[in-house]
Amino acid sequence: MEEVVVLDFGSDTFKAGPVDNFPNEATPRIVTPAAVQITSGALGGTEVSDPTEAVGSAKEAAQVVQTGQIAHWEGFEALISNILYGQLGWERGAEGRLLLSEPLHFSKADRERLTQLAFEEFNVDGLFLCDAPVLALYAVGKVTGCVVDIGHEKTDVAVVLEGQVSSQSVQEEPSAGPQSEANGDAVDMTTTHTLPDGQTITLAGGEGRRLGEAILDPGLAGLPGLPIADAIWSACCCHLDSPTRKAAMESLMLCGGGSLVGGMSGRLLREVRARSPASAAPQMLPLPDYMPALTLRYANWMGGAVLSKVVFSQNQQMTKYDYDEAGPMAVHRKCG
Amino acid sequence: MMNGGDEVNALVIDLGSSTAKAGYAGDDTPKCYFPSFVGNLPAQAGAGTKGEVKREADANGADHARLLVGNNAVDLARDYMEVQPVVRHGAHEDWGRVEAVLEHIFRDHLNVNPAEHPILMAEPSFATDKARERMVELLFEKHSPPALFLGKNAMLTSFAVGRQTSLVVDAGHEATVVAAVHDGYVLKKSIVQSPLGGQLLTRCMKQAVLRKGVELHPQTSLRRLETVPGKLEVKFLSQPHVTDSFRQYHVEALAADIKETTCRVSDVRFSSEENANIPTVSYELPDGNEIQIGPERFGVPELLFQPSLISTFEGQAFADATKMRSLPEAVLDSINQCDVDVRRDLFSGIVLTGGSSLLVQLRERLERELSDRAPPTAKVKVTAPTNSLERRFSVWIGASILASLGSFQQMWLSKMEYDEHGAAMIHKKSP
Repeated sequence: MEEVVVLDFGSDTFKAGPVDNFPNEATPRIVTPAAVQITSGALGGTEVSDPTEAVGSAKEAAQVVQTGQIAHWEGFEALISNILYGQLGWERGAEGRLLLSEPLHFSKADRERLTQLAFEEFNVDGLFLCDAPVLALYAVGKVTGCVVDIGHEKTDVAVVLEGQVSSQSVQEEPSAGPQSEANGDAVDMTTTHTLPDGQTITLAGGEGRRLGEAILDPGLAGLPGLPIADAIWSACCCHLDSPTRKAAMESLMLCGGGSLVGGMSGRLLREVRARSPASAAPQMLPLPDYMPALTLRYANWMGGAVLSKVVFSQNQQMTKYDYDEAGPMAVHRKCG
Repeated sequence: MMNGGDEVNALVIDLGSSTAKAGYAGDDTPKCYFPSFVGNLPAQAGAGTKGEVKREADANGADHARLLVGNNAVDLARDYMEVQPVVRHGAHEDWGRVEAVLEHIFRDHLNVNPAEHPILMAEPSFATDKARERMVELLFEKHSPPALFLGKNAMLTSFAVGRQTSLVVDAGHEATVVAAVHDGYVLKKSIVQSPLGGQLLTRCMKQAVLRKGVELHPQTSLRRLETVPGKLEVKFLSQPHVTDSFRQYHVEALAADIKETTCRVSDVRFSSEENANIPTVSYELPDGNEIQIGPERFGVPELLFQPSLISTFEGQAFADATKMRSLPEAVLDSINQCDVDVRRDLFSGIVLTGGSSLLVQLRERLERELSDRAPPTAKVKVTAPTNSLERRFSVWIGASILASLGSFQQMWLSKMEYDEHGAAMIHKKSP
């Protein structure tokens, strides 16, 4: 089958969708929570958790992805299976092609395991893996820049130069994301929110703002990590040469779930400006007009959609033939 | 477990005195790159210290000192945290710190199980037998890799530039080490160490700046706030419990940045008095002050060629004045300690590498000075990798190449051989 599906797996949600209709269908069709429940017993197995099920049933929840690493492979397999066959309507025997957004710090062994999973279990027609920050930049039409991905469990800062992640500049900070989930605004007023299970909570005046601050500086939440602006500065400047520093500082990009927090990007830019000398002029990369509004939230997926048009049309992906010939290790050769 | 050629999944680790580099064999740059310093949090740091995480106490409820490694570890101002080097004078200061660094590499960065990968470690060309055996023991006992190899820095650099025979001039952080490599083996008698390294140059630069009456406040000690839109005001943080070693580390990091961005090597012998009025360049400090760097731009790197100038920087002196040699002198001494028949090849195959070699015009000046002093029949050629990443990582890159060669696979020291013959076997296998 020719259909290409782009998948971005995070610790909070998995984002997946076919890209044939991109950019008309502009966001990932499926955004599903990354949680599974393990049933024990005679027919023990893992199933994708059902959000409407009553909490407290006799099943054990497992987190599939933790800080970018796949922690529970059976759960991962079950979720993908549910997404591909259940929600996207793939048929066994006529699977399509997959493009995956690869987290930073993904080990070689895990890459091979993922490749093996894709070809053995899901029998995909073709596979491509690409580093997440590179994809995020493709979403705004650039190949060089400093990507700040505020995720659920961690914030990644990485400098990408001409499509290659500069490994010396990668920083990972723990994110106060989970604690700020219920709201998305750093406002000063008292706001009331309704939680999924029906309870309402009221956030007093400064609480929303404090939660927003905690994202900017994990230290405020008691987590060991640099304030994000410092991490950006360190990534761009401490490990690169002068000409590249300038290029990186002038192409900052904020993406991921945390970017939804109101006022985040403006505030982050101000913090980075305060951190840098007058001669550097940090800029945020603008979102091109032709990209949809929610791009920054799903930047990795969007970039994957953009890249898939190029990769698969030029046959640069890893095929079943490559897998049969060389095994899972062919992924390192074909996918950088 | 010994696969041939392409499927080797060896890990390559280079613990330098300034940065630690690690990654997979076959890659062209290390995946893992962080300062060779650990943050040492003592056991009894008070509760509620800034930046502190809830500690896990052990079974007896006692807290242990914790070693924090990585980029974030030393950049975050934690109360009572001492910043300590992992490597000093080419030797490992404290094996606990080495262990912490290795753990960080395997567990946090590369996410690998070291028991599944052969490990190639880079070591100084002058490493002592005892230190080598200690490293072998540490690795095999704690991490049980299937195989191990210790490669001397000069040999690995030679590999990276594709030469079997060369004279490697490694201008590093703590010292400049000159060593001859002949047919892939380091000639021990040719090794010359000069205590002139990037760290000394940094300290002299710091001295030069302080002499102007400017105070160096590193970024970690201040915050700039926009009190009035468009105007940034500096607020110095009160950090009563931050240790001196932390402060000094960051002040030196700042001085190093000043050195790296402004310094150049002069084409000819440079004298600060004669050139007191040369045009200056400006550098903006983190607190917003702009300083003008004039003769120091050339004066500081000039130390490499005229080490006696050290006396012009107060408070700086060589740890061991007898070893004090200028860069060209070190090269000549090294070559003269070799056999006569290889000297010609060494003169024409001088390779300049290391972090300090990134100083602009260093290669040209060295070549000129050497041509002046070498015997007239010798043809002097100094090459340096053009790419700055290659110069900084030449040892790591060479190791990466070596570990992925098919013909190298028989040279590993396997765990079985270690179990049978002990750590001393390493001297036979990695001469």
